[in-house]
Amino acid sequence: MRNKFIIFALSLLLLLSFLSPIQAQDNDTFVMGIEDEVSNLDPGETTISVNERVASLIFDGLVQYGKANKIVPGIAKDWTISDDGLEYTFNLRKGVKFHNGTELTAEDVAYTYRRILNPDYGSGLRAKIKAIDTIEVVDNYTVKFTLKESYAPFMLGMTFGIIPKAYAEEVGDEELGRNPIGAGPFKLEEWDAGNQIVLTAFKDYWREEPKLQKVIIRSIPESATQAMELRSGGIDFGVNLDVGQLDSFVDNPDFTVKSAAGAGINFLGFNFDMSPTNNRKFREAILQAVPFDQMLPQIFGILGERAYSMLPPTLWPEDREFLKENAVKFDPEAAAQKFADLKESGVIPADYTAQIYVSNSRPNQVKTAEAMVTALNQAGLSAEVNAMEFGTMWDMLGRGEIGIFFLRFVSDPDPDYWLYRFFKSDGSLNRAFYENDQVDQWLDEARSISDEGARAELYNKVLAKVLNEDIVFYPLVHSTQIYVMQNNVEDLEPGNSLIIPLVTPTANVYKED
Amino acid sequence: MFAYIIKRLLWLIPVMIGVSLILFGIMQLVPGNPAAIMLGTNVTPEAVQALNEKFGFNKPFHIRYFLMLKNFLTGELDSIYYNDQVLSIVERRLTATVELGLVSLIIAILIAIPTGVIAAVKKNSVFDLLSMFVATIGISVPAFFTGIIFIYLFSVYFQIFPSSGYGGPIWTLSGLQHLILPAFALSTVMIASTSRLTRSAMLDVMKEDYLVTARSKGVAEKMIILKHAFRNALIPIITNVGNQLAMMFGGAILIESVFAWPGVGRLAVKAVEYRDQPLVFGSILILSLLYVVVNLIVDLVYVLINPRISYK
Repeated sequence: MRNKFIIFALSLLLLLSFLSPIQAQDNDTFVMGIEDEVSNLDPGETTISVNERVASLIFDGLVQYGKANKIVPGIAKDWTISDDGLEYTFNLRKGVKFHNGTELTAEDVAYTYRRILNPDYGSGLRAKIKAIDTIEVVDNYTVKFTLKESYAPFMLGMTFGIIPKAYAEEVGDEELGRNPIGAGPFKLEEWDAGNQIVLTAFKDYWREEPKLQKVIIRSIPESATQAMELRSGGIDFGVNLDVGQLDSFVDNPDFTVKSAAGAGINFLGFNFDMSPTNNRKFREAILQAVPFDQMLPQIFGILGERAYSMLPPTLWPEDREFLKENAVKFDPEAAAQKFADLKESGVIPADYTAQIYVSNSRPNQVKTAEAMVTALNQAGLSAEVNAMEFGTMWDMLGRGEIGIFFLRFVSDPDPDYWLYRFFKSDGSLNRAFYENDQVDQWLDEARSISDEGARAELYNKVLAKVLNEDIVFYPLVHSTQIYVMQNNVEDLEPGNSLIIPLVTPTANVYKED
Repeated sequence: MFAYIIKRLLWLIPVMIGVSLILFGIMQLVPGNPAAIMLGTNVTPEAVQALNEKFGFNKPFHIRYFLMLKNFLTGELDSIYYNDQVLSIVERRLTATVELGLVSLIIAILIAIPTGVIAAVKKNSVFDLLSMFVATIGISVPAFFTGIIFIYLFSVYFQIFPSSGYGGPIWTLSGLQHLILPAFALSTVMIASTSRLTRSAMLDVMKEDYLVTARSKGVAEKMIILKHAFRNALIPIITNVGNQLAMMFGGAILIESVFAWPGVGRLAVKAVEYRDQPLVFGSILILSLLYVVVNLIVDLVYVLINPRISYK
């Protein structure tokens, strides 16, 4: 009986293995692994990273990100901005087609933005364009936005994907998110929820026809599985590999590994509404006690670049050297002395244990927190790691119940997006509960003027104040974006972590024979 | 018997109401505002307010409970995170989950029971020692690790099976190819525990007097083992298999992650992460229903294999 079974099982295996080549993909089909599953493809609701990236293949905006994240023309062939910075007039290209064959006109643009502005729709993107006062359709190919007040990062909001008004009105928001129709390089062919999304090239794409005929986007949450899929040829491209797995691809001639700095910032934050973290001496002592320069490269490896600014290296202003020189340096003796002084003066209560909060879904941050706790204990401050599920931690942060925390943040390429929300007194992400009138004034001013040089100067002041002088946050590591691909994939360059750059103003990805 | 089934089915109603109440209560205790989590770093007070109103998070407890239950029963419960109705989201994944669970079960039974029986009959033989040694390893090694090893062996090294993903319904070739590795990986734990249990149950039965009687009457050894001993050893085995199957439906989360398998377990974890209350409610309620139904089926199978058990 046992022998029969083994023979049966072996013959089944053999049969299956002969039936078809398992993994090989033809060169027109591009398979990629992403780390999470797509839940909604409505470009007005894509506040979740994977959704946003996949939607970026289906939808095109008035403008797009070009090289070094500079804004370049998209569906709008050009635009004018009035001298007071309040009127933006966009001239659309003629003959741009949606996937259903209808032409994209100014009406569609106005509809797209009015929908996001509608408070009942509840879009997370609304904050980026809420400076808009009116939207006027001048003619079929001209649309004019008038702002309530000048807002320098406004152009970044013009990258939102344009949706066809007639279709959206006919099917409603939900159906639009399930069966999206845009004017982007790829159209949705099949969506097997939780498993994969199949896109096909849009032949009438206004820029040029995509070279890849078919794109399959598979959700593969486990990093180890993505690595195996790459090795077995099941996917052409993966974005979600751990440090340990990456190393084996770097020296392997079958694969190409490319990296680009600045996909996000990992940082340490302090609560200004809570004792003793509201004490500058205490915050400084914590940073002096921990050898961050030594441990961060070990923990993050090629996935991170040591950070001294909140802004990614690719984003102006260029004042990193100044911030680095003035950052708190490792000095365990000084730290121990400070902790002792603070205990004596009663700032640190006798039974105090510093709780360091970190999200358990970020293993590298957890490792950093653990190393940090060891260093703090050595310097005479009792400390523990509190690794918890992100949702719970986020809730506690919002209520101001956390004194010391690790966070990671990603945003669009304008300093305003990175700084205003964190350091403005009423900023929506001011989890440090930091309040400073001078900083508020600089931040307000910097978003209302359009001269980049003057803005950069203001942001330098803000960064020097909040990072060096007041130590609100302590930047740790810029996460590096790493692409691992089969070596026959050409023209795929990492850069902007919010898109998948298959067909961009500067690239059209293909696979070599 | 028929009356018994009806009675058991009617009992499902209060059980499920109890489950739904406990579930809903726990969901209220879990910290984290779904609107704030969903919006992430794009969060603004107005956007949170808009979402709270859209999904009715501001209403009192009992109203939200009845609303959720009503919407669930009428199939109108909308997920927060996924842009779809809870029932249709769960339904799509249920196929994947049930396919994986049942195929693993079949593999496990085909391997574990013969192994256990042979090991018991040839007690202390090389086969017995070896198979029970392997079974001990099978119980100890976590299934996701087995999964990764399988992927490495069968898809990276030998390139026989695809490494991950769902290939389609089971009756399609691609569906079957994709199913085999996760099914084998998931079945390892079940094979290990079932074969050990089969062995010990068989050993217990084989000491019984009626087997001695049967042997002295001259019944063939094969007949004794299969008909007299094995049938009586089946009760604990079926109980174990039933429990394991029910666990497989909801508890295959690690295997689902490793093989990127779009099952209900992973869905439920995702739903909890995003505080997607309607989806947590719907997916766990359906998983509980599966669990209860599997248990009912196990109870009914008892009657088939042992005529001394009857339900009145």
